[in-house]
Amino acid sequence: MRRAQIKMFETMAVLVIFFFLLVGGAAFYFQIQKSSIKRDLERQEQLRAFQVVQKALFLPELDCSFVSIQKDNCFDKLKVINLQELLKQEKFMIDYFNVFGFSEIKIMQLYPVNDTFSYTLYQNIPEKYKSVISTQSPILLFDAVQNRYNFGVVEVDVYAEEQ
Amino acid sequence: MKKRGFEMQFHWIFILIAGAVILAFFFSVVAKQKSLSEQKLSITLSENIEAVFSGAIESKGTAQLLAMPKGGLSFSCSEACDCNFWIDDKATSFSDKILFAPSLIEGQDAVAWSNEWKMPFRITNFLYITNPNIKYYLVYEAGKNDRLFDRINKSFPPGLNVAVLRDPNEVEDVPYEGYPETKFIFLDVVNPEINLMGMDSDFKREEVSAINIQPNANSITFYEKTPKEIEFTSKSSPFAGEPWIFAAIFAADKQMYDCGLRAAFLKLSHVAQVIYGRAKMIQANITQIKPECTYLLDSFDVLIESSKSFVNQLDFSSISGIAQAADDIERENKNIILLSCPEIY
Amino acid sequence: MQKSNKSQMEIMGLVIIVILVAIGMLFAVQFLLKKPAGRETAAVKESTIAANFLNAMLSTTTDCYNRNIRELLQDCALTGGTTRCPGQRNSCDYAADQIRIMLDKTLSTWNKDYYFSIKGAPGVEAISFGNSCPECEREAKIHPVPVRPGFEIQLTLEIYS
Repeated sequence: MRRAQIKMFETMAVLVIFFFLLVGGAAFYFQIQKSSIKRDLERQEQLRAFQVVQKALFLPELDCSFVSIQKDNCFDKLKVINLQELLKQEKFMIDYFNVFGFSEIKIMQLYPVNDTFSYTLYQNIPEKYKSVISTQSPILLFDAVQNRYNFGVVEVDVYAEEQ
Repeated sequence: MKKRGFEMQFHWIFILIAGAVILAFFFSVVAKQKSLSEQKLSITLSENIEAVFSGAIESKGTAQLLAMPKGGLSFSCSEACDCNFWIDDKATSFSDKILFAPSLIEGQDAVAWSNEWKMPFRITNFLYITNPNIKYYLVYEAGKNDRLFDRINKSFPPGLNVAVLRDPNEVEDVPYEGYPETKFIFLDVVNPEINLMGMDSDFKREEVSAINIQPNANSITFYEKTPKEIEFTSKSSPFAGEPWIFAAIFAADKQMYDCGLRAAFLKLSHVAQVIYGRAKMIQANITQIKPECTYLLDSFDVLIESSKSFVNQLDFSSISGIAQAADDIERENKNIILLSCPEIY
Repeated sequence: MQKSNKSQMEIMGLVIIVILVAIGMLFAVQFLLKKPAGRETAAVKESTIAANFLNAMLSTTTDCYNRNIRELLQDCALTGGTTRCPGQRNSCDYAADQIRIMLDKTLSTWNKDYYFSIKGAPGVEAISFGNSCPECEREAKIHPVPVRPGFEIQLTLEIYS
């Protein structure tokens, strides 16, 4: 009888330890999954932010073209001014949401220093956001009236909306 | 003795039941994990492929190979122009991209080719996606549409499966070669339905479609086959330029083509408004420095209004007006360049 | 016999524990050694910034006879800076000043460590900004500028992480 009881306690102890190990292992595994998913989400947000920057840089509404030849990495200043005006209209904002999503795009001239040219081209910031990824890229700004290229920067802040 | 015997049996039954429960538990955990992992993979793949499409569409004039996921990619557009590409069950919207692709691409690597559309200034890039599993037949009457044939045939990117038929009657002699999809591209052929109805009966149960390009009417007719029959229904859509011919060639159906038309003409109205505003600002600033620089911009009104209404209606009559306005702007731009004034575009 | 069975069972138990611990350590090591997600995209960003900076900077028009930086550097490489620019500076010094302004307003303002240099001709090799760090992790872009057939200078911009 006593031997049987000892045997039973032994079996129960084995089972308890087994389930402890199981739960411990599962908790460890799910923790790793959680951080892996977090890493993936961060990577996707970075990818999306980069895509928005690339779209802004290649937009036909802003590009510098001469006899239909497009100059890379260049915005036409007058096009920036016109597009910025158009984007103040709600209908345009809705159409361009597909392109830029929740983001803010600023274009600033840095050289020559005495000529100020600074515009917020697009601004659509969600009420609640969990992160913002900021990207800056040097660009050329073409002045069609004076026929000269100035040096500037485009700053794109992409917001990850809080779910 | 009997009691011991019963005890043994109960012991084994208990082991079997407990064992089965534990195994079932673990199998269900594994199955759940597998399904979660597959979903996670589909989501990651969709995001990555979307990024690849975004990059491909910006590299205009280039063709590149894209690795396909195991289950392939499917493309579709609804009547409300909700266009998506699918990896298994995961749908991802085309968003701002103008894509033309067959309904299913699987097996071999896909060819992604981007092409610029100008009217007369750059509006957007189109991205065409296909793969060598789709057989294309270019059908034309030799001696009648050679120029159109040359233009189209030379522009095809490498890696595609394209055959040429120099007589529309040869369509009836084309054997079914086992391709998952076959597309006939008729170049201004009169009544191609007659040729299609006479095709090999092996095509009955297969995916076959056709288009007929009619440059004089600025029209493309889409022929869609009734399943399990050699019968075709036809509907026409307008086109405005060579990029649209390729759009019709690579699009899954008329719906995808029409949705692309709407998106592209909406973009045209936006770009035209920006360029128009820019030209007016140049005019206002340059008159004092260079009085000879006068810009005639009336055609922009026609271009902008016609393209806006075209987005809603897709009517053939607007196309000639839009094309004429585009030609006028191009002519005006050339005149302005000759005067050494800042270009309109 | 029973003692032998017992000891065998104990060894089996130890073996299982060791295997479990080994698997756990494998997971932990994999997790610790993986680069953070942000680092990969930061490298691409820095590479793009370097390329875009060089492209934009070279085509920028200056007040020196409306020449762009590329033309001033070509003049510097070819003639040692015979063109006289505003402020009585030669093309080499003037180009250097403008490049410094652009670097200050971008990479310095963004707190990025960088090294800009030009190779290929004595006049332009004097133009360099930032501090070189050969052993640092970096993204670099090299932009060749033809001066005349068979003769080119190379602009290098390294951005350190």
